[in-house]
Amino acid sequence: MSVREMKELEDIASRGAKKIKPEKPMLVFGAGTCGVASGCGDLIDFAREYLKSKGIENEVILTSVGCNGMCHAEPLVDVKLPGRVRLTYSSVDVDKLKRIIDEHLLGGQPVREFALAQLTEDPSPLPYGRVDGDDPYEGIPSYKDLPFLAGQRRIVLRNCGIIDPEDMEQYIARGGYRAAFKALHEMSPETVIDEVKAAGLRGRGGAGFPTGLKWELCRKEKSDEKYVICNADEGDPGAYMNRAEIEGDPHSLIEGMIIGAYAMGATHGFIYVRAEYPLAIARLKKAIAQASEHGLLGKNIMGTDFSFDIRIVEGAGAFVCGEETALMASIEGRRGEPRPRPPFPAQSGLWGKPSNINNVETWFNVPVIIELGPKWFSSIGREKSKGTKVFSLVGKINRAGLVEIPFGTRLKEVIYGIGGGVQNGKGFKAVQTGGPSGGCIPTDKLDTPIDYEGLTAIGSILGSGGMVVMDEDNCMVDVAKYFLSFTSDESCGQCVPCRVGITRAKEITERISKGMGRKEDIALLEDLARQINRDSLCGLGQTAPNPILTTIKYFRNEYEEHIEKHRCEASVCASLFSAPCENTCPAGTNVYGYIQLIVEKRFDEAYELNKEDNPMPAVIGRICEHTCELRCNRGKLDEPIAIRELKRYCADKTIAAGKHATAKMLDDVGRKVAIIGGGPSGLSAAYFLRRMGYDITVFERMHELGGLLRYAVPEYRLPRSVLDREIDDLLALGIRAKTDCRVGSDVSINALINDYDAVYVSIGCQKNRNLDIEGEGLPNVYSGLNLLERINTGTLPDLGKEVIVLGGGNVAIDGARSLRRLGHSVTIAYRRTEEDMPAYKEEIRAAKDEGINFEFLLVPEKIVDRGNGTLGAIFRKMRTEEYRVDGKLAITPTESTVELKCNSVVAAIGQELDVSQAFSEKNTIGKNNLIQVDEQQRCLFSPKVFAGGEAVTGPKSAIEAIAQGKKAAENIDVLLSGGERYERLRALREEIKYRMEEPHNEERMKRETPIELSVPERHDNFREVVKVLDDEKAVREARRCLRCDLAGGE
Amino acid sequence: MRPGAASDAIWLGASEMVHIKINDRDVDCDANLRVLDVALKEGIDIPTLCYNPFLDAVRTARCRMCLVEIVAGGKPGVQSSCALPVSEGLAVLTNSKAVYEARRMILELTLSDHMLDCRKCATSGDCTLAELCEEYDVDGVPVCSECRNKRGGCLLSRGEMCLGPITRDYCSAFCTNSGYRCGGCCTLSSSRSVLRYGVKQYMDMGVPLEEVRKAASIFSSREIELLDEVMQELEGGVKA
Repeated sequence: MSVREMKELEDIASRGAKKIKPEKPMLVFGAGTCGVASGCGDLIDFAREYLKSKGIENEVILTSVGCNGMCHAEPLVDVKLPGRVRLTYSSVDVDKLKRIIDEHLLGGQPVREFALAQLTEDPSPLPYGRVDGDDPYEGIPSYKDLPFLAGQRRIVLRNCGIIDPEDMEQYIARGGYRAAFKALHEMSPETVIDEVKAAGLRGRGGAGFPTGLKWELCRKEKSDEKYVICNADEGDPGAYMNRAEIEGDPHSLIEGMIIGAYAMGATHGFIYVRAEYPLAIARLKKAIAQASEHGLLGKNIMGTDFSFDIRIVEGAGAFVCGEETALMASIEGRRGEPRPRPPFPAQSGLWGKPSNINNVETWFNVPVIIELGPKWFSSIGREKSKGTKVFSLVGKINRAGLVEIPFGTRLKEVIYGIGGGVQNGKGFKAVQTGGPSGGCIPTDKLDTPIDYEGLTAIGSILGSGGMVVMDEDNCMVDVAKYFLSFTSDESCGQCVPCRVGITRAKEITERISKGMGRKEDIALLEDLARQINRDSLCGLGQTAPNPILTTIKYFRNEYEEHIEKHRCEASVCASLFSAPCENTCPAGTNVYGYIQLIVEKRFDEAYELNKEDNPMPAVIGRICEHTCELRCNRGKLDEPIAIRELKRYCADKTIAAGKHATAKMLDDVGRKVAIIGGGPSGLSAAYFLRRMGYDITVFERMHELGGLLRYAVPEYRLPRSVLDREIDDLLALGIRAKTDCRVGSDVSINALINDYDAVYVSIGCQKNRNLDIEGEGLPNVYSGLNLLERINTGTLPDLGKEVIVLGGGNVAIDGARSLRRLGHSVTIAYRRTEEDMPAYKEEIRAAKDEGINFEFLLVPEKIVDRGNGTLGAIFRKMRTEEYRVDGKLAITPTESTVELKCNSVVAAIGQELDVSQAFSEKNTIGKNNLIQVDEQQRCLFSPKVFAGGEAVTGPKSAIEAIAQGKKAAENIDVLLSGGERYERLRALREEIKYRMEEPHNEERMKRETPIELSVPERHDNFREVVKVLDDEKAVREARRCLRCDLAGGE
Repeated sequence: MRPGAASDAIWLGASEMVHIKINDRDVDCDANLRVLDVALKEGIDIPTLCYNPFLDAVRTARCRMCLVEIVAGGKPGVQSSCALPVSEGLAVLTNSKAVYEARRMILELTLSDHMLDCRKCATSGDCTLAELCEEYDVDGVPVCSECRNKRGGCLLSRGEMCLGPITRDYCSAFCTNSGYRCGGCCTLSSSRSVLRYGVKQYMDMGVPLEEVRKAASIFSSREIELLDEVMQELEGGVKA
């Protein structure tokens, strides 16, 4: 039957509404491509069988819908009971589904553990066929409470995930074809165009040409035949908006095209969709058939004299066919090659007739604009970009999926708010928008509001809506290389700048990534990129250099590191390193080597090999921040290798056997080096220099060597016996130590410069940052490092029962956990949220286990003496605001304050270099209040004085300090022996041989974890919490190593 | 058939006249023509590589040598004149800086994919590409680029004086690939960028520039003048 009057449309609508809110219980499956890929097919089969086995298959409705955007939570299953609101379950498997059917669908009680949210508010702006309004369930969040959906506004995706895309009646129930009816019956073509123009709709394919204007140009052309075309040739890596839109709601596209065709006077329509989208094509075909059957397509649509039909053209998937002239050539049956414009398609398009091409999403917006009017539409978004835009948010993001946001939303809100930040707690590096034609946007540009102009201004483009998040594991040279190899593959090959230029640019990035780059390559790439952009024929060539230009603009240092230092920080460019663990370790430890030695049960040699790069493996094996594990390739398979535990294992094993690693030494050279500061950095420099044959004296102001390792790290993390043992081993090499000797007062720096051939300054950052608030000077207010030093030297005064620790770093946690062991009741007050605490996550967890109380969003304002040994710490309560570009939540003060009573306060809010302690020579201290050095770590006032460690870098990890000391040893050797001894020492490292066979151990294996002391066992003592791995576990863990060093380059 | 005649035939619309401007010249022309046709009729030279007046249907702007810069009456930027229809008020430049740079890059890119074995080439002696390279001061690449000894075994690193870095590569590095030094037979490169690259290479490898000068004495004095200029420029750069 064909629809001729509104009444008939409304009849269909009322039938459809009953399907959206049926009288029987309904089970709804998310069956978009993402749902199918996550296994919804099996779930549907199971549900059907299960209901059949219960004999109630006719009592329950099973239905499938398209993607609702939450691809990260698939498979999604909704339950709709009569009279109750629709409720969504996420990550459903067969067992969960069985419970959902039994308890909720049949029992009426939602399964709260798996429930994601309930659809209490329909996202659609149209008032028809709404799914909300029924009784909500108590205690289950609503859709709008989900952080993923909170910032979104759904116009294009209004029906996706709600209606069955294969059922036209449901679409009509949601207000479908009303806009087409209105346009055809009540509006002239000119009014339609005027409304679209007034709405400010711009092309969603990326170029952003005003849609109304484009239609008007086509309308004005006189021709017996005109065409409208939908561009659904979505080819950007990582983009799938159009696919999901068509799969979830194909009738919206058809309705949009009917209205557009009417406005322009077109008689035929084409949807150019790539053949890789079989589901989208199948649903479109079905939708076109349904619409034709009801007289919504074909001759005399809806009883008017307007006729229009739509044909689907399947593209073979060439990226260039997304360019409009190439797309038209492809429809005509010719090779998909673009041609110069003018003439524009509006003048001479498909088969020389006036034609109009719009993106899928542009067409989707049209019915809503006609239904709700341009005024409503233009109230959304920004001045020049109206409405919303759908993005496919993918990559290293926690919540991947389809995101529809109003223009003007900031990038940071999408990435941190909606997307939930970067996966696995890694650091954000860049977001790539616009696919191969777009650019990479760095952290400091995440403040940019998303619209056409905003993204263009920072070198990227809006594009069709791909948004790929990259973390610190992505190398930007590699990213540029990837996109260039994509565009050079996809270039149609017509014009020289694109065909040859991109290929040459690709070759340049290839040689940079192999460490064969030349210094002039960056300038050459920039030059080439600008010319390709200017001279290419079509959009593909003109925009292909964007990835080069933006990566060079924002990540030039990475290019320089690749070219000059042959180093790939992200451990991606395989020719530049042997394994990611070794490449990531600041000290360059040969991780795979000692792990292999553990496999071979040669533990002493493993320890020895470790010692080639790190003077204190037993210490570092306990307290390292192990960035190596973050990059471990095994982590991409199952879990990263427990590198730190293995390091500790082979060290402890050797020490327990009473053996000492035999350090290989060079002959004495008879030159003297003084080292100021006996912390990890100083000891590391001493160790390497001594082994090169230099005569070393370490000057330490404290009574014993070790620096913060001894005086700050608590005993339960690093037993003193372990530290003593490894320091004794160092001294046994013939390193002299002068303790209780402060340079500056006991001996002058100038005396050292005169007496020694070189001096290394590694005095660390030991001054506590001041609170700068009233009451800081009260007797029971301590600073973090001072407190730890007193605990570690046994000189702790009476603090009283209640202690408040201010701060969120490792020192704060160390202090709190130590005090807890001494029987205090401890509260940590931090000014930000828990997620933003800089302390190691495992330490925070342990502190919580041990009963330490945490208070967040409190900034200390003053400390007052309340008498009787009681202090009152008065805090300003803070509240979180929007995200900052670094992913932390910005905080602002609120009106209210709170007072916490306690007996003592410990301020551990950071450390800095004690400037008064450093030397008074000119140019010693740089702008950041740290010692300033040149590239060879030389202090500016004397070529003989080097500096490193935290005094130069600011507070960092112990392994970083050791790496600095090692580097200083190399630099000092360059000064004293031309670097020859360092080379010889490095060569000794190769003497320990281990098996070089690929392990073939790709099957999944769990990571071994060490045993920890139970919480009651930790009470009242400083016994080490984490135990060493046992023999069996350690060897099993070592066998998991993939030996990336053997995998070879690309 | 005169150039452009075929294109008169494919646009069969009403023959209107429009006014356009090419460089400084005002031209009234048939509205169905393209800019290249008009320019050629007017005797304004626009170089082309792929344009063939007898194959008018495939005017798809492939080689892009005929780029002109649009300054009025169209989207600003460069466009291929062979495919650019004339329109009222259109003004283009055929010899602006942008056009010159673009053509140079196109020639360089074309050469980068080219055999460059002129001795064996049928068009040798009557080669538009070679003529245009001459005109636009593009030498493409030095002998080194075709030399297989680049990755180790470079004659220079063995202490032999080789002119490969500054000699134009019309010989596929015949001598150096056979183990002999390049004597500069194909003449010194006339492109500054190639010379600059070559001289830098000598400096990086520690070859005294005096020796290079001595070896380059086989070139003509005009050529040596250019080489000297580049050397002075680079030596000055080092000192500064």
